[in-house]
Parts: sequence; C-alpha cells; structure tokens
Amino acid sequence: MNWEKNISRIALSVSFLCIVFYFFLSYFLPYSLEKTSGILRIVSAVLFASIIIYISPKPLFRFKQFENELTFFSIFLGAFFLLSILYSEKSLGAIASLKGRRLGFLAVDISYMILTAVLIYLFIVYFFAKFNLFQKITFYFIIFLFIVSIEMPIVAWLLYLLCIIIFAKIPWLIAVSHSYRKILFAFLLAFWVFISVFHLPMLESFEPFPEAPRLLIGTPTQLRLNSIVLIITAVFTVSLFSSLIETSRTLRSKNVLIYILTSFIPIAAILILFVMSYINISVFFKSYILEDKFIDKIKRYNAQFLRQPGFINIVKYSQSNESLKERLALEKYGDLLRNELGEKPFFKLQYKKNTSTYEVTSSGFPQSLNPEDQLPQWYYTADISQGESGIKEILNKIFSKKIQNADRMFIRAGNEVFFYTISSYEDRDAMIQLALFMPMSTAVADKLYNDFGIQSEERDESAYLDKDPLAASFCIREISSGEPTGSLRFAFFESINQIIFGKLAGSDTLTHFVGGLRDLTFSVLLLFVFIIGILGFIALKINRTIRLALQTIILGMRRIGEGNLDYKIELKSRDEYYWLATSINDMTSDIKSYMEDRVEKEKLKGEVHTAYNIQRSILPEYDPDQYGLEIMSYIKPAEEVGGDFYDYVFQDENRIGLVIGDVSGHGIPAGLLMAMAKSCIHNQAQHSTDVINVMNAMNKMVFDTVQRRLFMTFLYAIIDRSSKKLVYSNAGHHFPYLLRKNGDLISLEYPSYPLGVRKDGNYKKQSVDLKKGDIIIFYSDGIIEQTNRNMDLFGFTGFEDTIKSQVGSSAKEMLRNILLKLDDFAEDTPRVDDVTLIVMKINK
Amino acid sequence: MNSKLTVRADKREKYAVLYTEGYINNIGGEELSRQFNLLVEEGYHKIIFNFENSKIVNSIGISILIEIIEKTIAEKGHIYFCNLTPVISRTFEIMGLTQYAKVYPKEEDAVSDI
Repeated sequence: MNWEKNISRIALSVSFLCIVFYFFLSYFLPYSLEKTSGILRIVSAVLFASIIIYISPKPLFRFKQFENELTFFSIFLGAFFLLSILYSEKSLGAIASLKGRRLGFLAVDISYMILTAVLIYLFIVYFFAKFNLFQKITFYFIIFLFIVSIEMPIVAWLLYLLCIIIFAKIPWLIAVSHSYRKILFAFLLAFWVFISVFHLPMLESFEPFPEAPRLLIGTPTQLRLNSIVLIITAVFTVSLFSSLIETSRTLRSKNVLIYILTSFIPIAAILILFVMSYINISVFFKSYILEDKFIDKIKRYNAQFLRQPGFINIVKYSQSNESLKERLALEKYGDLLRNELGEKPFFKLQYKKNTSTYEVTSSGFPQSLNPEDQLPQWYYTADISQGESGIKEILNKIFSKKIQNADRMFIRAGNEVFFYTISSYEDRDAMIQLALFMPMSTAVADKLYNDFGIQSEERDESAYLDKDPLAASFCIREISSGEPTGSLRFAFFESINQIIFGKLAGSDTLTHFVGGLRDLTFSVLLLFVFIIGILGFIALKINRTIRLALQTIILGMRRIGEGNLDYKIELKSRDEYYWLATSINDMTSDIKSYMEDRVEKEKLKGEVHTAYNIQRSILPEYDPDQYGLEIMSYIKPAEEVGGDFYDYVFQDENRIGLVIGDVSGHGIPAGLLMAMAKSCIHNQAQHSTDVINVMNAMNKMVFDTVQRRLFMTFLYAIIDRSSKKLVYSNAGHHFPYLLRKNGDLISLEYPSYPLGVRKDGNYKKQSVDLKKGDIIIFYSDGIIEQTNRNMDLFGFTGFEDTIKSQVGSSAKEMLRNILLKLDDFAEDTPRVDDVTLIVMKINK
Repeated sequence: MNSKLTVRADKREKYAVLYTEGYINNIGGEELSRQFNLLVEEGYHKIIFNFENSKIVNSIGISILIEIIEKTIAEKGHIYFCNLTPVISRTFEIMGLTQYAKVYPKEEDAVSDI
C-alpha cells in the first residue's frame, strides 16, 4: 500500500471522526461529559473511528479501496442517525414533539441536514459509477428513512446540498498542482487541529442550554451555522484529499486565475456564513439574557404589585430554581392577570373566516388560553396601532402559517404591547388570542428606576433601535384606572455594534460564553483570512509556475521537434510539470539512443552483409570430385560472417591444394584479410606451388598488412595422388587428423606461430603417406570450443572420439555425423565461433 | 566463470607469478599485458602465468600472449605457463606458444624449474 493511500486513510479518519465524534458526543453521551477535556474526546473519537476502520474483525468492514471507506462511513453514519431517531434518543424527543405541531422543519437539527447532504455528496462522487445495485439501494433506503424520520423540507435539502457540492469542488478549482494541493491540505489540517483542540469543546457548550433553540428570535436552522461551516470544511478537507489521491491526471487547460477567482466565491460564502452564524448566535444569547432580565423585571415589578394579591403567587412561582418553571411563571402570570383584572385590560382580535371580517375589542379574553402551553416564542411582532394594515399583517402571518398554533407574538398598538398566544386551529372562526397586558403605574416605574436602576436605559429611547423588529414596547398604566401613564420598551440590542461585536453588559456566564463564541468566530475568521492569503500566494505561484513551466516545456518541445535531441528541458520545480519535463527528456534521450542504435545497427548490418558477401565470394562454390578424392566441406559462421575460410588450389591433374585458415576477428577487416589471402595464394600458386613458398608469401602479406594483434592461422596442404602423399605446413591452425582405414587416428602436428606474428615465419614442410580409404579431417576451432548448457567443451577428446567412431564411413557420412554429434552436444546452445569442417577421403 | 578478468601479481624474490581469474579476451588480455609490463619494468624476467582460474582464451587473448612471449624473448626473459586446461594447453601448442614458453601442470613444477 503506498503512502498516499495511508495518508488518505488517516485524513479520512480525522475528517469523519470529527463528524462522528461531534454527533456521538452531542447525542449519546450525557452532558456531564462535556467537562471532559477536548483532547480526551478527540482521542476517544479517534479510537472509535479507528476501531471501525481497522480493528473490525468482520471482512465486510475491511475495505481495500479508498472509495469503499467513504461508502462505509456514509452507511455507518446514516444508520447511526437513523437508529438515533428510531430509538427516540433524548434530545431527539423534543424534536419529535415539535414535529407534531408542524414546526418540525424549524426544529430539525441542522447537523442532520448536513449529514444527509454529505451522504448525498458522497453518493454522487463515489457511489453512482462504482457500486452495485444492492449498495445503491441500501444507500437510498437509508436516505429515505432519514428523510421520513426528520421531515426535512426539500428546499433545505437542496440548499445545503448545493452548498456542499460547491465547496466540494474547491480543491479541483484552486489547486491544479498536486504539490500545492498537498500544501493546501496541510493548512486545512492545521485548521482542524486548531478547531479540534481549542474550540470544538466550546461548540459543545451549546448543550447546556437545551431550550435555547426554542428561544431563538429567527429560525432555529440558523443556530448551528458554525457547525455547518465546520462540517463543510470537513467535506472540503475530504474532497481535497480525494483530489490528492486522484493526482493531476490531466492538466487543466483553462486559465488558472479563473479557477482561483471562482474558488474565492465559496470562500467568501464561508465568511458570510460565519458572520451570519455569529450574529444569530449573538441574537439568540442576547435574547436569552434579555428574557432573563424580563423575568427579573417581572419579579421586581412584583415588589410593587404586592398590593395585588395575585402577584404574590407569581413571585413565589417565579422563584423556583428551575429555569423552565420560571418561564412557565410567565404563563401563570397571564392567568393571574386575567383572574385579577378581569377582561378589562385585555385585547381581543376576532376574525370571521367565512365573512373575512375582523373585529377588535378590548373586552374579550380568550377562554381557550391553554396554561399548559409551553414557553413563549417570540417570533413575530406586529403593530396594530396603525389600524387595518397592522391587523392584516397579523392575519397574513396566521394564514401563511408563519404564525402557527401555540406560537406567541407581540402585538404592538402604539406604545402598548400585547402578548398573544394563538390558541387553536380548531376554531378558525375565532382565532383570538389575547395574552398579557402589563399594567404599571408611574410611581411603580419610578420606584423601579429608583430602587433597581434597571430602567434607566430603557427610558432613554434614543438608545433603542426604533424600527428594530426585535424591540418590544410596553405601555405603563395605572393599575387602578388602566390609563396609560408612560411607556416602556426593551430592545434586544442597543446598537448594531452590539450585534457585531457581541458586547454585552455584565459578565455573567452567558455573556462570557457569547464572548467565547465571538473569539471563536474571529479566530476562525482570522484563520480563514490567513488561509485566503496563503491561497492567494499559492494561486500566484501556481499561475507563475504553470506559465513558466509550460513555456519552458513548449520551447523545449520546439527545440526537440527541430531535431535537437540533445536539448534538455530544465525545470526547478518538483511538481507534475517537472515530471512531465523529465518524461519528455527521458523520451528524447530514448529516441536519441534508439536512433543512434538504429544507425549503428544499420551500419553494422551493412558491414556484416558486406563481409558476408566477401566471405561467400572467397569460399569455393563446390567441392571438387576428381583426384580420386571424395571431398565434403561445411562452414557456418557464428555471426553471419566470421574469420574462417578455406579454398582449393587446383595445381595439375594429380595435385590439389587445400588452404584453411582462421582470421582473428570478424567483420570487414577479417573479410578483407580473407580476400587478400585468397588473392595472395592464387598469385603465389601461379609462380610456385611449393608449400613453403606459399607459407612465406602468406606470412609476409599478413605481417605487412594487418594491424597489431590481428593474425591468421593458416594451413596449406597438397594432396598428390601420384605419389600418394600429403605435403603440408601449418601456421597455428588446428592440427588436421588422419584417420587410417584400420582406425588409427593420427594428429598431423606441426606447432608454429600464426601468420603475421613474426616477419620471418620460418615454417617447415611436413609430409605423410596416404593410403586408399584414409580420411583427412581439416577443421577450425569452432568445433573444439563448442559448449553445451553446462559450459562443457566439445573439446579435442569429443572430436577425436567422434572421428574414430566413423571408421569406414564415406566423407559425406563422416561430415554429416560429426555435425550431428556436434549439434546433439550443443543442444540449443548458440555457436560462439565459426565452424568449418572439411573431410577428404582417399578413394583411389 | 567471470566474464571479467582479474589479474593478481605475486612478486617473489627471483620471479613473479600472475594469477588470472576469468575470460582472457581482449579486455582481460590488456590487463594481463599491463600487469606483465609492470613486472618487467620492476625487473622481473621470470614470470609464471597461473591460469588455474581461467578456462577460456579467445584469439585476441592468444595474440596478446604471443605479444608477451615476443617481448619476453626480446628481454631475454622466461615465461612459464601452468595449470592450463587441456584445451588451452593444446591450443597453445597448436599456435606455437609452447615453442617459447614452457608449460607445467602445477605452479610448483614451474617454480622448481626456474
């Protein structure tokens, strides 16, 4: 397994374990665990993922391919969350309760959306083309159950899917170079380490406020945008690694800058998401705090309301230690008000659906107010003080279902604020929900101001954002008369700076927490700015590197194309272009070598062919059959042409001469020497056929002609049938054999230097008597030096034994049998030297 | 058998021994010739060639050996061949090398004859 695959495994593990561990800890572990250190959590998550990937004993879970691991994670996570839903895990129970009231899509955990989007993305990238029908059906089934379980709106699906896909394309867009993609990944890895070690535990701190989503002003789907960004970054990281594995199979032909610019769009989107995330989180927590203060105000008002019997109970109720109870106290407060004050201070909106008419009164109180309803959810405000338009606004929100059953809303009439609860869908004709009216006397207000100081800001209306939808106004009335004596408004934010920078008064835990979130956001933003800077640098470098590299390569290709095969493309970088250039250089070098080799071979081939022609022209065309001799000859060059040669010298009717020689070396020089030898022999034979004269003439020719270390073995023999003698002399050639008719084998020995060694060869004449039936064998060293597979030599012994076994044979039979024997010995071992064999039998 | 010839010279008081290992071809013969010339320059006139670890001699190798023999004759030195394979010994004989250089079965035989 190569290192890239190992790294990809690790990266995948790290990326996905972040998701796994995030959800695992969020939904399965008790809240007490959040005090566990982040490192410990990461370690546990790493172990968790590692076990799944590597230690699982089941072969099903041990995937060989990178894509299959993604598949596994996809299915695993899908099943994981599905089971979570089916088993009604604690935190999911609240979601289920909201689903029943058609608020499910608002309460759906954004993480589930992201997870699903990731699953779909993985499917698109890895599943579609590569996996079988069963795997696809499995995947679809999981997704289907997932969707059914959480009732995720299709629009949200598409949005997040689109977002994921856009981000997933980043690595391919910004980093065409494998090397730079690795650099980019290093930064992302650093980002993950940074987030994991320092901030992920903080994000986990959402959980201490399980009611938080329902207190959000705005849509709860915006609650975890930070998480979205983190998860998207995880997908980005995974995608980047995927591209690293891919390597740059094909070079991008488009301008790199286009990719860079395109890549900045999603990066900008990341920044926007972060800002939005931060604002929403800030809003959420600010409202949370303000609500706390609101309840505090009620408590403090109660100090003034003590004159009213019912408020005593409120105080007692709201002093409960449980925050939920405190909030329910608000409901009770409404009931108490109703009971204590009758219908007078309440506001009634009645709408007749069948007649499309509405009526506003101030005397009716909805009897259907359900004290069991849960907390107020301040989603909407409307101002009915403007008359019909304000009321229509409310009705539109009701009919567009933006305001739904059990929602609360503030309705503002001038400085009066009414807190409404939509009671029931069953009674559409009388959808009238008048909630609370908070009476307060001027004296009370002053008392609050003087005693508690909490209204000093609220009284300064210039400090409020008048048109801020998150602001609410209260009318201060005399309790006894119900006449307005002043107004009180509170806003969630004092200024836009407060929204952006999260500056909150006080230093309680929540403020501290929001401050931490602010730090997180800004640190992440800074990190992204840093990454963007790095990306910009990389972009410029990529652009410059690619441009220069391509220019260099194109220039080099032109030079090479012009025939300069010595040209080398030089690149300093060590990326794909370097390897491309190296490949081109290697290819050029190979082409050059090939061409040179081809030229050399052609040249050699021509040389060999020429030498072969020379040799063939030197060798006799046929073996003579006169002189009472049976003569058979055979020659086979080892490499088309060798140094062996032989010839016959016809002298008179009784005498025939035979020359056999071997030139040390091959090719044209050897061939030329042979040609010269033949010429010399025949010239000399015209003047004198004496063996010694021929030998001396040949020695002189070779000595004067050939270069150093080139010599010729040479044997000249004359067979005289009249005298029945063989006269010969030898210059270093292998001794011929004489096989007598009776089987005696005689080696015709005459040791001497080859021709050309000494200027004066001093060769001597030898002679031997011949008888009918004798066989004379001339040969070259190619027979003796023939080897077999075991590198054993045929040798003199093998040759002599073969000859002896042929007593009584004809010359033709002997020649054939010797060659067969030699072939049997050599088997398929190639010939290393020329083989020459001449067999003469004395027939008469 | 090694295709590359290695030659080792063992210098003794009155003579030197050249041990060859590998194929005595043109390249190996050159090395043999070089080592021989070094010994001659150092004043050695009696040189034993131990061919125990060389089983093949080609024609160029023989021509180089002939050169060596001729030079030895010119320098009035002596050359001794030993541990020749039968084929090489016969080849040396055929080509006339044994007329000018003595052949011994073992190195000790050559040493004792010096």
